[in-house]
Amino acid sequence: MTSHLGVLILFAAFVSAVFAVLMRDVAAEQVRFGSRVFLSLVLGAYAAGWLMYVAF
Amino acid sequence: MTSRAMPEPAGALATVQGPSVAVTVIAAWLIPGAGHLLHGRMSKAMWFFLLLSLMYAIGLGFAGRLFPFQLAEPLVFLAAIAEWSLGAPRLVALAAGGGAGDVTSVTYEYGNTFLIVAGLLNMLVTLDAADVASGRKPR
Repeated sequence: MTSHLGVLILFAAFVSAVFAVLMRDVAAEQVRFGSRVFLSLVLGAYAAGWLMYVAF
Repeated sequence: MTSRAMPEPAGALATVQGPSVAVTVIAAWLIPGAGHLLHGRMSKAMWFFLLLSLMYAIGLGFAGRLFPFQLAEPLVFLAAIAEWSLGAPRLVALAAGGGAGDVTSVTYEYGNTFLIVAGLLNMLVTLDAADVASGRKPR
């Protein structure tokens, strides 16, 4: 896999899953928390990339 | 004279049965999730083992490098500490001669990121297991 976005999504999925299991005990809360972390990572990286594209 | 139970001071640790903090930390360092397994947290242990082992394997598959302890290069030294935070996978990779790293590979930096972050996440998992073992965190 050499797609930047693909690797970003894969990385974010792993990190958010570990944090969800670590920080929450109930399955439903883990899914909610993990989804929030995942979206924050992907959208944050996307926004940072877009800002760098505009600024530089 | 009646005896009254003394209230526990704030911050007191709950009594914990099971392996000691030291045993828990060593197990959690060696095998991701083993610390939680020792304290009966089967589901969490399984997820940590699966996710962190897979992350490490993907890092190696992406041609990431297993960094040596090199004090002359502080960032390489820190990366080595992070990668050694997953004991068994690092030892297996060392024995198998894997993790040479291929700087010409497109995924080289991605591989390094997966390897380093897997180790750092296992540090957090190990600390969490230590909290369970010491009674700071309820079972």
